[in-house]
Amino acid sequence: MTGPGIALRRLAIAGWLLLAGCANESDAPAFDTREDVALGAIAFHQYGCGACHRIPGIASADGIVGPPLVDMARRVYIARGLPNTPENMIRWIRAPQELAPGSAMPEMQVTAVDAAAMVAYLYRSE
Amino acid sequence: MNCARASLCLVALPALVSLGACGNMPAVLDPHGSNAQQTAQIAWVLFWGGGLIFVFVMALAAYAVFASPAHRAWLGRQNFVVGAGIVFPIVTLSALLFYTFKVSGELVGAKDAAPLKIEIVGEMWWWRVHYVDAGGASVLVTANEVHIPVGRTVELFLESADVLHSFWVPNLAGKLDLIPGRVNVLRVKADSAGVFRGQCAEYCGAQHAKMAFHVVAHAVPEFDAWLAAQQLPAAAPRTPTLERGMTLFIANCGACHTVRATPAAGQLGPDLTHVGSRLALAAGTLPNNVGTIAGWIAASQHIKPENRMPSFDRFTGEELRALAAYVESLQ
Amino acid sequence: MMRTLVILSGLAVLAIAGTALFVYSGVYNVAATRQHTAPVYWILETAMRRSVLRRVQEIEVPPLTERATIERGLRLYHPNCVPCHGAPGIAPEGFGLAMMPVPANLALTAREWQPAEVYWVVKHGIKTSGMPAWEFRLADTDLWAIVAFVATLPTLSPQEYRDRARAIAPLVAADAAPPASGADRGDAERGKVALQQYACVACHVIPGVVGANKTVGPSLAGIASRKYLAGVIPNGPDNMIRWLRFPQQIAPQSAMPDLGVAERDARDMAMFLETLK
Repeated sequence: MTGPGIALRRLAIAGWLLLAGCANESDAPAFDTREDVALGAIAFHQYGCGACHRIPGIASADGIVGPPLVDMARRVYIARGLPNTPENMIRWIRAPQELAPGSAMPEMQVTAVDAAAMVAYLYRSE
Repeated sequence: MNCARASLCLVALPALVSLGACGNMPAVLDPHGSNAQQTAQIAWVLFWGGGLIFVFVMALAAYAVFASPAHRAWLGRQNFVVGAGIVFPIVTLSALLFYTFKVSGELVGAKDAAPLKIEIVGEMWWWRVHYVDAGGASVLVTANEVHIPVGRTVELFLESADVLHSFWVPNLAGKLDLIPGRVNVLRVKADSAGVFRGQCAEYCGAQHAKMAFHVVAHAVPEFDAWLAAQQLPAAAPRTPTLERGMTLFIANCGACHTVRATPAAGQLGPDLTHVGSRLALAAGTLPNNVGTIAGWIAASQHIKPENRMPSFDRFTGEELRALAAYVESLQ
Repeated sequence: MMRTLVILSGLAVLAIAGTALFVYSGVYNVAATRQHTAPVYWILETAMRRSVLRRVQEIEVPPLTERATIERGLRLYHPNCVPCHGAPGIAPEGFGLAMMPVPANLALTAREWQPAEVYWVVKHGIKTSGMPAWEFRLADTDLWAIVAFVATLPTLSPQEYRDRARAIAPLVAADAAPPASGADRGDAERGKVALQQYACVACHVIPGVVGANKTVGPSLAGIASRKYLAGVIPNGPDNMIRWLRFPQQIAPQSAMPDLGVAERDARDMAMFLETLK
């Protein structure tokens, strides 16, 4: 292959790689970036949610006091009759006693940023 | 790209990537105490010394393989073989021996005039901690967390209540066993303030892996303040929820746990007078907050099977939260 | 060449004969009180879904977000659909609970199906299921109104649905008979059937029950080991029976409706759930 041919081929490969990277970014919903999901896993570790809940993908989280946090993206209701939306999930994590008085789930003083990261983790596509 | 360059890339790239992981040194190579400092020093001397000798020997081997017969003839001469193969190792290893003896001597000796004395009793699977004064009387009982002042020698009297355990906080010192029927003394001195994680290092049963602890080194004024705060009796409950929690605690937990200034005076489990101020629960198993306290109370047998505390799973949701809130309030 | 033909035709005859034998012998149990086998269930569900998908390509979906449309949809949904499908916090009627396939929880359907697909199913019904065709009973605009309302179901909590439906029709209150104590232990096998008949499979993932893979409520995998029910009462045989029979008393606002579970059925269901460690 001649000089200009090689250069053109390399340009084409570089362009294809760039485009491949772009395609992934635009499809993903705003909630679901890899960093948010990773931060969510860290937040679950730090707040110790695994002491009561089984959380798929976090090996040390296998608690049996509360329900397992599986399939949260597909659940219709969460907590006590609360429609499953990101906003409601954040409300529940941050103030469970307001939404379900008498529940064993205590108020953990979860910050808004941490709650959003946890929700990103719970809603991630598995 | 020719063959040689391609194979170089294959090797260089992973090496470069793994170097990037240099950010977190393992605790044994990150000394914060005199004991660990000396151990790490010996380790590095051995590593670099051995590394240099290795490179030198490999260079000689390559020369022996690739040089022309005329040039490499001297390698076969008897003088060289005796000198490099017998004399050199004897000299080097003897020097190393004297060096390690000298440093090891410093590890055991160097007694401070007035060390801080702490008794540590290993149980299955947690650490009972008694601070004692010069006369041997107990001034503070706590568990799973040892606070020490920076720059002062601390004498740890290591005992066991049941089986073999081993006290290992790699940032500060090497391992020393807790042997039933015997008291071992470990001397540590922290050079700087910090939180250092420790671990039981001798297999002691099903939950050996969940028998960790923390050593927290403070500057001297902060340490004195911490000790004074820990010696105060438990905080009285200030809200109805906390009162309810205290009532539940005394009825259900007092048989095994002590909270000073309440009727709870059990000795079987850790002292909980200031448990809310600790970094972790259940000997380093869980982070410490109201949620993990509740999870531990309701399902301790699931989290740490066969540990000595049963799961208390008959409380209603309200009761569990009140109890956990009370335990968390014991700062 | 001849040999191949002979072998192929022999196989074909065997296949036909085998199918005929299978059908005429009646060996496959069509009772609604018995589960399908897992492969048959998968074949039926997949065939149904694919059949619907294939037929909705040309459907033009009208705007579905007008308040008036959704309100009309609710007025049609409540008398026509609730008896089989229920609503947030409201159980289907007895005959709806007893069907196989069980009528879907439509809040979950709204999350997983496109409006055009829902419209098609409402209009044409589904063979060999209890879903009737509404094509000759409701005008097209009414069908779309129901689709518009169903699309909003996932956002409605039980309280909200009750408030809005109250204006339309009186709700039937559930019985609150006190729990009877009994010494006999439950029958786990019968309990498994009861879970289907009370349509628990419409909302919960239940290991060991074919078709119980819905995520309206929490999964019941490992329920026997769990410490709390609804986060409020400690888990145990008596509390489980109480919960199955009167969830609205224990956790009002929960989406789990009072299904009128008889005491014996609750005992059997609890016995089965005890095996889910």
